[in-house]
Amino acid sequence: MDGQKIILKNYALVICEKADAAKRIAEALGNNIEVFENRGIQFYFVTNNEKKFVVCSALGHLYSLGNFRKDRKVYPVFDLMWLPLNNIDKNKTHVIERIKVIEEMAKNATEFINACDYDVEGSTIGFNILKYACKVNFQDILRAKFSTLTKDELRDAFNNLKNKIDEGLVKAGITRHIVDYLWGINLSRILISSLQYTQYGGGALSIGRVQGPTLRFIVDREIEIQSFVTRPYWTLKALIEYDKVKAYAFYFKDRITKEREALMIKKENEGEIGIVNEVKKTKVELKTPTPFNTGDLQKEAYRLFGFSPSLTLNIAEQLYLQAFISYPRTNSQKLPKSIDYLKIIKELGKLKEYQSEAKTLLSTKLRLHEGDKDDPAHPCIYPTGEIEGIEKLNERQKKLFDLIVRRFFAIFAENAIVERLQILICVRENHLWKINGRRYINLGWIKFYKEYFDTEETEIPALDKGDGVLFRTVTVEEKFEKRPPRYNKGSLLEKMEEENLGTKSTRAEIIETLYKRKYIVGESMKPTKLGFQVIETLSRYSEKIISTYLTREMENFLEKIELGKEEPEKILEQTFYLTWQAINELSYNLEKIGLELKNAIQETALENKTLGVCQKCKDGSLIIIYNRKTGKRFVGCTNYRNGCNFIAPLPQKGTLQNTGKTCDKCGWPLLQLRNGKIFWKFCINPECPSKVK
Amino acid sequence: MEEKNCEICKRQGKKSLCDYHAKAYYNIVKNYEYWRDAYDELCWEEYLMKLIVNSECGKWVKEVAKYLISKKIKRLDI
Repeated sequence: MDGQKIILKNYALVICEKADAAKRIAEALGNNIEVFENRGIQFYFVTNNEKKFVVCSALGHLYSLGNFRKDRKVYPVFDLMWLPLNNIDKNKTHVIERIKVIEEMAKNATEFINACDYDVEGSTIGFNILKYACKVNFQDILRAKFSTLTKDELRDAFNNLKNKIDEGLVKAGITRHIVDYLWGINLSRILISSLQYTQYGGGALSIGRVQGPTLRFIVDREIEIQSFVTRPYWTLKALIEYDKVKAYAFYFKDRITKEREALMIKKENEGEIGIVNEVKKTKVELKTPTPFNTGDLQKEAYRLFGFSPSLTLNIAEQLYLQAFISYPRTNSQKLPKSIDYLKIIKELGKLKEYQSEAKTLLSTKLRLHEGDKDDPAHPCIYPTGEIEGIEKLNERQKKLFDLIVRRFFAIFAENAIVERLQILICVRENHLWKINGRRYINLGWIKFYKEYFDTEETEIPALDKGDGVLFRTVTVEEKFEKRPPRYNKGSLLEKMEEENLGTKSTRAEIIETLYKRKYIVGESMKPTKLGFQVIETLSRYSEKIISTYLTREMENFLEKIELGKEEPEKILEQTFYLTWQAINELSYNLEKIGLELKNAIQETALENKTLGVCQKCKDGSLIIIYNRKTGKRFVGCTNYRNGCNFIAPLPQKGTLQNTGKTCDKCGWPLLQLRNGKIFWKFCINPECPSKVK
Repeated sequence: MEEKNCEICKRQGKKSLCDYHAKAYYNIVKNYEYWRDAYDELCWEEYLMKLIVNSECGKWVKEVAKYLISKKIKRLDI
């Protein structure tokens, strides 16, 4: 149809968030779909019960908050407006074409439907397009509400279009954008401006409303780790013998705090005969897990597959757009009452890998177990039962889909029952030892989730009360309390959830920004000197910027706007006031701030560039060198003037990070390359045995 | 109060140790009694030596312990 001049009239213009969603919605609305193309942008024309629809997609936000002051060092910025995204980001040139196409399509439309994802971001995306490109008032916008892209649900959503149902979401979305914009742009610009006092131009610095407190968690944990003094303790283990059967028993008191006491226990028990005092059996129920919400899925995918939260959300989004799962950005741990569970299980049972689980579930009475958390916009994440094209999923998509399906099966099963066994043995009437074991009496929900749950059983020897056992040897082991662990992407996400920082949609992105800004490094998150300095500087000059309390309060308020319980004015007023206050506090100390940050940026860069001692000359240091003429990078030795000619090529694309670790095979430094969302570790030694094919 | 440089890392502060090293020092002092009881009469120097070689102790703790040993200091006024 490209190139033909076709005049369409009297139709409903449907705005979707993504191209895949637009196609699915068009397919659900009718069978005879005509695909048009204008300025290289596809849209669909479809008729349903004599009603005409034109379906087009937005590709995320087409409008963003901005101002006309392009100079990144100018602040404060309080004059802001919604502008086409290409005015803010020069790389988004395609946006203007899309807006023009939507403007043209709006001229002959009689009805306007926002069919973007039903959440804060989706409602804001659709609202801005309809307001600025289509010039439609909010009360004239119809809203399609759906949680899956299956034909049945989409048809149902379009048969029940309503006005203003997402008013709270739109208000909350716009308010969130304004609050974050004012906070982020002004404070980031101050940090950048402070560097001009130091004659130093480099360094991308930013601080955001959620970014600051999140970085503070990581820095505070590092302070705890680096100032941690461990404490010693001792444990005792005995090799016991009974009727030629050998087993290990453990001293009943887990930790002995004095070395002398531990050695005394060894002396008093070794070679002695102990008498079985008691054989205890306790049944413990392992509760059926709750359905996945976004955070639970992200944590589980990180634990099982090492997927970062943003990667999980990305993959889940792909599965949603292919209609395999429901909308993945949700707080809810509840399934919708309206869905046909039996039909979904039956459909999934058509796949070989779920045949037996589906059969088992269908033969029992289904009992649904839900969690407490709810979300007014969407139910939990669940498989839709769509299986057409499932074989085309890539490995990562398959893994995540499998996890979602098995969790879905598990929530219908009963609690698992574990029998905990404990044998208590008494020696010389004043020493108590224990042997612990466990076995599963009823696997319950674990049957459906066994791929992702450790079901190992621990056997215990067949001993009865009154039996005598020989304590052949007793071993004393000196141990030390572990220092607190660093955050990883899973545990940081959990902490942000606990503290109510950010939203299910933004948390993963904020974590990624901390890496991009070089505030943190490593999977086990360690702040760089720059990350440390940003927190130290801000807490010295304007602590509220990194205050968890303030951010959490704002988040609670935004949630109330979303639910229609508050109006935006109060939080906007507060944001203006707080931003202005923070700007004043920081402005008085710009020179000092600049100096502190400049030193930290340079130290972080040097730390990242220096890889350790050269393994060839054993004298110089290996550093990453950038050739100013060619712009290429490579590894060289600082001892080159004295004859060390070591040189190693490096990948030219992506961000390099010094891991601080060495290769297991050759002992040379390991670097990490980060290209988009992909991490890759490699040894810099070109002759490393690991590189020989 | 007069600005001083931390005697370990040269970071600026109000006292002879910066806030980070002061925190590490405080933890070292706080835990000494526990360690002394655990090992039966462990002297201060032996305690510091044990902290330096312990993989669970933090970097600042080790730096403070080395500093205290090198200066033969028992208590700091911080």
